[in-house]
Amino acid sequence: MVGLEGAAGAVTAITGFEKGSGKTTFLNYALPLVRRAGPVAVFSIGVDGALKARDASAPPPDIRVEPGDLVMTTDAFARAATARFEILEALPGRSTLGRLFLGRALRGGSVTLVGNEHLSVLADVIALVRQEGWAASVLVDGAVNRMTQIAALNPQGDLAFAFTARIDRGNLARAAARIRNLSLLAALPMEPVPSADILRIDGPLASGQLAELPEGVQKLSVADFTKLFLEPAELARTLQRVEISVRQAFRLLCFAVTLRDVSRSEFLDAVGEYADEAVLFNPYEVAC
Amino acid sequence: MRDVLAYAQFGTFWDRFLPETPFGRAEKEAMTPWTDAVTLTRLWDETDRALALLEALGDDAVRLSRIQHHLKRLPRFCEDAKPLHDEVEIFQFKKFLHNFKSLAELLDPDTRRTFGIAYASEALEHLLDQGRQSAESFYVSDAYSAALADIRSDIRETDAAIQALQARRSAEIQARWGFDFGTRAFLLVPRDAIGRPEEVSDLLRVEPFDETKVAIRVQSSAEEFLLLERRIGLLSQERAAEDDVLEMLSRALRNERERFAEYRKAITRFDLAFARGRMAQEYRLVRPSLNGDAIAISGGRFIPCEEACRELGTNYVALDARFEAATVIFGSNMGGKTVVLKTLAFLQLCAQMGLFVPAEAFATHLFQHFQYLGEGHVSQAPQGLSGFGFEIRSFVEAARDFDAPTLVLFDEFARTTNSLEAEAILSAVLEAVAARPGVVALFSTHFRGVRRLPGVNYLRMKGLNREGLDLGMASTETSTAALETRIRLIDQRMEYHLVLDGGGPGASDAIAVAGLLGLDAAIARRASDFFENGHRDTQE
Repeated sequence: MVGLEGAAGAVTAITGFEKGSGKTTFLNYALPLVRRAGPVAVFSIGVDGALKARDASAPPPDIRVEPGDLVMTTDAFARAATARFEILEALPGRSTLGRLFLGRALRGGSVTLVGNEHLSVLADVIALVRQEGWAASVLVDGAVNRMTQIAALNPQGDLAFAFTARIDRGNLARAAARIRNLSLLAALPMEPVPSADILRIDGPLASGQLAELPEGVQKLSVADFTKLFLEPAELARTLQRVEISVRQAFRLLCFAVTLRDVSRSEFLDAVGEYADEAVLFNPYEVAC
Repeated sequence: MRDVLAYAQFGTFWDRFLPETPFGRAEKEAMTPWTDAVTLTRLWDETDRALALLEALGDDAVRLSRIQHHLKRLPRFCEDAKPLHDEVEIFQFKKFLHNFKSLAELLDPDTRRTFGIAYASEALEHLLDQGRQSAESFYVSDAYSAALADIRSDIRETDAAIQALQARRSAEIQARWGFDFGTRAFLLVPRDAIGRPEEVSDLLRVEPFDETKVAIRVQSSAEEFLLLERRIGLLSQERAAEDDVLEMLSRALRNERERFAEYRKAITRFDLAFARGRMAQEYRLVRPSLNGDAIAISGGRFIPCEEACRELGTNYVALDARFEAATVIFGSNMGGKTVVLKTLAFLQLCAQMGLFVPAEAFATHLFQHFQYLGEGHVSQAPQGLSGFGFEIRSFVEAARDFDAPTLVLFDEFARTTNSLEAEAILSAVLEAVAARPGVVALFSTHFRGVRRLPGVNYLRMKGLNREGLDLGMASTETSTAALETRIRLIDQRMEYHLVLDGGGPGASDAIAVAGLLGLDAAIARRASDFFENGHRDTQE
C-alpha cells in the first residue's frame, strides 16, 4: 500500500470522486504525517456550498492545526476558531463569508478553512508561501470535479494530487472506471519541450478533436492531463494507437479509498491492474 | 475620448506604466487626461525628481530593488473612522506603516521633500508591535493586556489537562482492545471486535459504518466534559479581552487617521512618479513643455509603429512638424499620413496623462477634449446609418466640444461619398474648424480639390522616391515572400517627411505603389494615362 511521503515538501491537491468522498477526513489524516517535514499550509479551493448558504446543519468539518501551520480563512471564522492566528497577509477582495486572510497558527486548535472564489488568489497565496518559505508543504482541500483547475495551483513547481473516493456497491463500477482513467492519465510520460515529430495540442483534447487529427499522427503532446476529456474506454483505445505525452505532469500521490460493504479484493478486481499500486485503503480502518 | 485612445493605440503603451501600490494602480486605471497646467507641471516636476533618484541609484540594484519591494508591499488600509477595526484591518495599517517607514529611509531628503514623505508614527508603530511579532504580521498578543494573558494561560492549562485525560483514556482503550488512535479522531473496527456498544460506552462512542464495521471515537469522561465546558467559557472571555485590545488600538488608529491620509497621498504621488520615471528611462521619453502658440514636434516617435518597424526590420522615421489651428495633410496610400495623425495624438495623450513623451522635444498646449473622426471609430453603432451618415453624425456631436480647447483628428473624413461632394464637405468643415480659436485640427485626405483657405496649413507627405526605381517591375509572382519584398521596397523608397504642399496634381504615388504591389504593368500604365488625361481634360 502506498504511503504519503510524497506530499512532504510538495503542493498536494486533494480532490474527490463526489461530495462526501472523504477529502477533509483524508486531509486530517495526512496533516500530522506531512507536518513531520515542517509546517504545513492548508487551504481549500472555493467556498463550501453549505458555508455559502450559511447552512448550520451541514457545516464543513473543521481541521486541526498546530502552531506554525498556515491557513486561509476569514476574520469571522478565525475569531470563532479554537486556534489562534497571526495575520501574515490580507487577501484581495472579499469572499461571501467575509474578508479572507492568510494566517499562521500561534496556538493549535480547530478552524474552518475558507477558500476564495477565484482560483488565481489561491495560486498567488501558494506562490507567496513558497517564496517566503513559510511552510514546507502545502495541502489543498479541493472541491470535487475540479481536476481541471489544479493545474493553476503551482504552475512552475511540483504538484501532486490525491484522489479520495467513498465506494459502495452502488457506485463501485463508476468509481473504479474513474480511478482507472486517472491512473492512466497520471502515468502519461512528461516531455516539457516536445520534439518535432510530436503534434503539440494547446487546448483541450476531446473526442471531437481526436476525430479531426491529421492522418498518420502517432505522437501527441497536451499541456497536462487535465486537458484530456476522453471517456475511460476511449482513452484506453486512443493510447493503444497514439503516444500521448504531457508538458507538465501531476504526480499521483494516492487513491484514498473508503470501502463500505465492498471488500478490498472486489475493489481491486474492479480497478484492475492499472491502479492497485497507488491505492491507500482507508487509513482509519483497523484490522483485528 | 476612447476613440482617440484606440486610434492612437495608447492602451498598449499605458499598460506598460506600472505603479506598484494599489493606490497608484487605482489612479492609473482612471486613465484621465489632465487639463490644467498646474497639475501637469507638478506631475512632470515629480517625474524629474524620480529620474534624478533613478540616476543617483545608478548601478545600486539592491537599493532600487528594495524601493520596489517596499512599494509592492504597501497594502490598502481602511480609511473609514470605524469604532472597532478587526485584526485584518489593523494588520494592514501596521504593514503599511512598516513599508512606508522603510521606503522613507531609502529615499534621499530631496525626494522625501518633493513628495511629502515624512514618517512620524513611531508611537503608533510601537503600539502595534507589542509582543514577539514581526514587522509585517499582526496578532493580539498577550503583551497588550494582563487579563488576556491570564485567560490564555488558563486555556493552555485546560488544554493540557484535556490532552492528559484523553491520553489516559486512549491508553485504557489500547490496553483493553489494542486500538491505537494515534492522531486519528476515529477508527473503523470490525463489529465483533468490541462486543455490545452499550457495554463499552464508558470508553468508546460507537457509530454504525457498514455491515461489518463500526466507527469508534474516544468517549469523553465527565471530568473531560467539565474541562471542555470550561474551555468554551475561557474562549468566550478571550474574545472579549481581545475586543478590548482591538478597541484600544482602533482608538489610536482613529487619532492617526489624517496622518495616514497624508501618507497615502504622498506614497501615491511617489509611486506614480517613480513608474513614470522608469518608463521615461526605458523608452527615452522627454519632458514636454507648454506653449500657448503652436504644437512643435521634433523627433516625435509613435512607439507602436516604431516597434512594429523594428520587428519587421523596416525603416522608421520620427516626426518633425509644427501644427497650428488647422492643417491638411495630403499624400498617397502607404505614404504615412495616418501615422502623422497618430503620432500627434500619441504624444499629446502621453503629455496630458502626465507622462513624458517619446520625442527629442515636444511643445504643446492643453486640450479639454479629444476627437477622432474617421475609419474604425470605436463608438460606431448601427442605428440604421450608413458609414457616411455615421461620420456626419459623429462630426455633429464632436462639434459641440469646439467652444473649448479641442484636438480633433480627421482621418480621410468623407471618403465614402463621391469626390466632388466630399471635397465640398471637407472644405466647409475645414473652414468652420479653422474659425474656432481653441481647436487644433488635422485632416488627412486624398482629395486634392479641398479649398485653399486662409489660416490653414497645407502639407503633404514627401512620398515615393522614384529615382532609379523600375516601376515596371511587376511580375506574376504572388507569394507571401514576394509581397513582403515589395512592401519592404515601398517602405525603403517612401520618404515619410512632411513638406509644404503647393497645390496642383503632382505625380500619382498611388499608381506607382499599385505597380510596386504587383498590379499588372499594362493596367498600371493605362491608369497613368487616365490620370494624366483626366487632369488635362479638367484643365482644358
